[in-house]
Amino acid sequence: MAEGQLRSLERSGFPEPLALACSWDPALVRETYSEIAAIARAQGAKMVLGPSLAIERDPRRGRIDQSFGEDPYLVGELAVAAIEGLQGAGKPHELAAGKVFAAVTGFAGPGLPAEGVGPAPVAERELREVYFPPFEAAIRRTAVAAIVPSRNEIDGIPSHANPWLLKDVLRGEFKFGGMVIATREGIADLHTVYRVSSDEVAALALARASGADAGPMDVEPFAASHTAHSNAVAVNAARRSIVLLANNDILPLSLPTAGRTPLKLALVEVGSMTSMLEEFRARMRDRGAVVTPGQADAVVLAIGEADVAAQRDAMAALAALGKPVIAVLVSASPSIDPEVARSSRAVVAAWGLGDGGPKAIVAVLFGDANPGGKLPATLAQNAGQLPLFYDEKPTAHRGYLFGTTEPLYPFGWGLSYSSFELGTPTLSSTSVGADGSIQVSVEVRNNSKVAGDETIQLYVHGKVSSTTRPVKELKGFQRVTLKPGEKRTVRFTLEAASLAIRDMDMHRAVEPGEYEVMTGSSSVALKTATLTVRKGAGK
Amino acid sequence: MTNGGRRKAIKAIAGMTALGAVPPLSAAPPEASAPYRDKSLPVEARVKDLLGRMTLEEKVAQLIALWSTKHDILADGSNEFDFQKAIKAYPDGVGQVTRPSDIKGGLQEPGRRWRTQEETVRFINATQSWAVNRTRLGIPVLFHEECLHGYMAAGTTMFPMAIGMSGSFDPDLVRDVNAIIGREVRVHGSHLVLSPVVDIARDPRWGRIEETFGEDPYLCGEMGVASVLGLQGEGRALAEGKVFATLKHMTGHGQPQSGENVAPAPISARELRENFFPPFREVVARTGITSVMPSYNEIDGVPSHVNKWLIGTVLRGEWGYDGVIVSDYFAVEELVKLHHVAADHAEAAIRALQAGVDCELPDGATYRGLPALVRDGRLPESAIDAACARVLSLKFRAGLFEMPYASIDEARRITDNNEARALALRAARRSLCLLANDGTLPIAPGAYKRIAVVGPNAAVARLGGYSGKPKHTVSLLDGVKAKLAGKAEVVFAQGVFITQSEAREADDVKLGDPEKNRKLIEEATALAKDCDLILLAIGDTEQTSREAYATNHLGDRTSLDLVGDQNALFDAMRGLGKPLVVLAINGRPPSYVNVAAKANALLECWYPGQEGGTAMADALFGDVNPGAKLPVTVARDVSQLPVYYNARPEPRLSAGNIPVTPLFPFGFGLSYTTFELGAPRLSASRIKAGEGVTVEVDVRNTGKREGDEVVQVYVHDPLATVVRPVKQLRGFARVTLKPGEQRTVKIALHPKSFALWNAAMKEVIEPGLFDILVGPNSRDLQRAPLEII
Repeated sequence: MAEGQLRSLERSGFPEPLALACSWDPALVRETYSEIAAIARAQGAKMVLGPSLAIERDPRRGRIDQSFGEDPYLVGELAVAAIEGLQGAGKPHELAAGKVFAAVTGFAGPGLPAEGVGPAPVAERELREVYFPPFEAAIRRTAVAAIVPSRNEIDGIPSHANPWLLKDVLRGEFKFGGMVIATREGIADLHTVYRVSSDEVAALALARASGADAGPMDVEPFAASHTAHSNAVAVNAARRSIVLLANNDILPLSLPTAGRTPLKLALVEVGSMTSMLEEFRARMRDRGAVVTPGQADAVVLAIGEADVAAQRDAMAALAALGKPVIAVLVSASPSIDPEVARSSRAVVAAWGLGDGGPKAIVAVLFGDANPGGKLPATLAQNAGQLPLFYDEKPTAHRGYLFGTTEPLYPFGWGLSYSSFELGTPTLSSTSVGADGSIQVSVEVRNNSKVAGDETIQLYVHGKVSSTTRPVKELKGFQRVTLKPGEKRTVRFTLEAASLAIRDMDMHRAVEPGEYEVMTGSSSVALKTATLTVRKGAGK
Repeated sequence: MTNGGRRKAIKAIAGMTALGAVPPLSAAPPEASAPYRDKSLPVEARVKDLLGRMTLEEKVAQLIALWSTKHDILADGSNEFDFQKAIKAYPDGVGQVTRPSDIKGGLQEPGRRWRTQEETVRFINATQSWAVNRTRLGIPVLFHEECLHGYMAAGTTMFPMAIGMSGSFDPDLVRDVNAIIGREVRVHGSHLVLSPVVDIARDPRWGRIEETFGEDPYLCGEMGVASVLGLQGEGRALAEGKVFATLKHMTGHGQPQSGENVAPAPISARELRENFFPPFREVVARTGITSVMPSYNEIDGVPSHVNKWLIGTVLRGEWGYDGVIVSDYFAVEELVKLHHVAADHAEAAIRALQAGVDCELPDGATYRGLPALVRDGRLPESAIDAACARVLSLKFRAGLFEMPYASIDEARRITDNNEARALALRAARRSLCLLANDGTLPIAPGAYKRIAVVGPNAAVARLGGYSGKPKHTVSLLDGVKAKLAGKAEVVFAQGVFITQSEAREADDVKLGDPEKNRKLIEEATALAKDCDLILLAIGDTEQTSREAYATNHLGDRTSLDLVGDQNALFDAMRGLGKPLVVLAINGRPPSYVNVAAKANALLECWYPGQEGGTAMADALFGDVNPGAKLPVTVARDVSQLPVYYNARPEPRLSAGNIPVTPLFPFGFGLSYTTFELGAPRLSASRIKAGEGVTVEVDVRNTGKREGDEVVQVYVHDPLATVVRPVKQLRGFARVTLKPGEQRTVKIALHPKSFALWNAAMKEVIEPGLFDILVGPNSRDLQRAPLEII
């Protein structure tokens, strides 16, 4: 590596993190980041900046497209896979060929606000229960080379100048042995924004004294350059990252058959588009006649960076024609107006897919690929509901006058061209000691005539605890591919340790009592079994 | 008992016609010669003596209250006290009765919520007669009431809503108002009130924002101190006409996640200390406050009713508070039902009591089980003793053992008297805030011949939440008609109905029928087009923004703009091209972007109390010059939230469509005159840490009318060891100046104005340079440097 240089991971040509997170597929994430590592290494880079391990629970904050979503467990699993892809699995002492070191970002807390939005509050228990776990998982399970403090501040202490965070927690509690790399922006913030240092020299000294032992380093952009292999990886990653959010008997589009008139389609764009739309249009043209909306059998409405008014105007114009609309979300981050979503016959999430996007979207629209992605973050209906995330406390979101607390699409949501039937979870034991574990089994069956993917999700909920706990928390997931009619039993190991909360004294505690163990196809379609955690240790 | 007191008591008892046998006033109360009866002894000694005589059951009885369970002491099918039932149901006495002025637990009649004044006094006196004469130790009952902006009962005086009172930036006025409120409560026989609210409010989606003094810790603290001193007077004992205040809700209630009532407050320790604690801490330090209520919400996973750190370490420990902690209504039960931090009532009671919650309101549903828990060894009796001692201490200091009764004659004489009404009018005048004006206001008398008063809030006097039922109210229409009688024609059109019903207690809220509203808008348009001025009264109602106390009684919102068809009404009126003055009548900040941009003038009236119509008319026609300021930042749009002026700086991601500046900044408000503020001068440009400094500002009325300006002093620490807010209000003064008059306003900054909580969470003053910022609002400020060495 050029000394003092980091290679950016953004715009690598592969799906951005939020898109990849839609795959709920750690193996895919590992493969994708492995490909990214090979490209970066071939260009001389030895360390990359990223991925972000931040939890993003409010689309107005942070760079939600650069995050793996809102859930501590999902982000942790995907982060581990990404780091393994970049650096190689396990804890190698030396960097293997084609690998790069990862300098993961976002330590710790909510992301920076958008212009015009005030600060996000966060306190210690929430930090420990929500924002720290992905970092703990990465440190425990990988040899992550470096951690980059976030640019935010927590309770008045900027992360670049937070010895509690960078020393006590990171080194002391998490036993992190890698580098803590300050960024140029993070240092500059200390004296220009946060005003805890008088000038740059003092800011650097403060960051160093607070636990940053390297940096600032320059960040070089990623130079996307594909091989045939990496292209295939990119397209596959894009396909597996698409989420079918709604489908009212229109997708997949039926292909023209011999002797029948080809399907006539129109492509309408709203919002600033990337160049990928040209390719998208070309591929659509290959599949059927591309015509004007007035002549079309159906209209594909590609929604880019467009505000509510623009989206509604476009939809209104199409509604006037009476044509069915398939909304495809191709903005960098999730954005769809609820009215537009409701007026569409189908809604396809295809944000941030990278170079493989157009091919993947067309494959999904025409049924060459069966969408199997799930949402890694709740999609809110409007800003008035924010923050909105599934693992909320029981006192959150009790209701609004003239509004709803329901999201537009919930966490873990995603449809398929197949239909699946999921059984009730069965537990290997209905009780467990605080240091034991159980097996959770759930049957899943493909009830349809097409092969497809389902992601079985495992959530837990403690009924009573000393401090409040979320209404549900993701603790496991598996994406499986089933042939038509195929039935399979999916098994999870649930460690009692994963039921821990931070108690009144901020200690990690697995509290005895009853827990709901829930499995299903999304955070809102769940079947429940009850598990009792006994007092004390023992299986 | 004093002779006067005894005479009043005899008169009061004689006036009772309660059902059931009224026992004669016994010659001597129970344990007449016990030390606890000796008012010359210190309160501590009386408490000790009395506590020593009490059984476990009698002690626990002091920790509970009766609300729905008032049923237990009311005659069947009646709202009258029943001695036999009380004797049977509560042989050990009872600590409190919740809201004696309402008929909860009694005979429910449609449309009826309140006892009459006479019934309330009779109920209280009868209950006291039982407690004093017919329980073993004769411990009087403590009655508590709500009185956020007036005694929440029938026939009392209703003042402007708290958020409007705060906008007056006039603590003396707040003190005077609360003195009248307290007097009206006390004269009916209650000695404890659940007011004031000193939550700082940072989310206008939250329906309770109207109950607060706004977003600023210093302003909330000053208004909180003024309220408490008004209600209970100086010192730790209650004088005649005074009631003990309850400081609520500690804390975090005002920044609920996603703007929803009771939702978690994810507030960190320094943020709590710097912003949420100060109003509570100020009141504890500067008044004899003796009752504090924890908040419903959790802070970082810990519901306030089990938060030992909050109640024990901070409030009782660091601040030395020794009064009672009363639970919020049902909050202990909600540890089971909502928060799930207790498996059952027993666990909830143990956790709450051990955290320091002394009394369980409104009914003591879980605390009634405390004796069994003590007997089972799950709780030490010493925990009950500590709580009971605090309750008894409050009762002794309230003077209840000497005089527990009320007099109906006094109640009639004092309640809603001329003095009270005059103060309600003065308070309304001083809480009106002019947000926009192109010169249309004030209206010269006789300038317009035909005036249309239009809108859903024009002909009804909206009082807001936590209101009683006053005998007398003045709507805007009433006020304007009275003002213009014989001078101009005043016509009225409803314009729209915001909701389909006006029932404040209704759970379900239905917005006005759009079809009917369309017709009403047409009618209003037809009427107004022949007028030469339109006064449009819009805003919220007691239904559209309120305390969401249950999932079937919602009150929070996802949008901050006008609800229903009010924007359509405004646009229709604007379309007529007439001068259009908008009166915003609401408890929620007016994020009315369309209105703010197009109205000729916008007067934020808040819920202005029972005399509001007169005050609004006075302001419209120039008899009063508005001088209030905004106690909250007004967002343009919900997407900006949270937005408050004293935020800490952060690097920003530039993004999309979110506007950067608020619609109106904190501290903002216009006048019919103009003021010039000079640069601030400091009594010293360099002081030692621990010293104060006085800020002097020359203020000149450069216009042609007498008017008020609120001079505001903010402090900013431009370099510190922890990130400092961009500015913090540290002093203010509202001054009245005649045309051309100039005055030098002096505002003292105390040492604590410069303090911060450092990385070790110690409160310190860090030497260095500070900016002292002075101006008429939080945006337009002039600076003077101060060095602290």
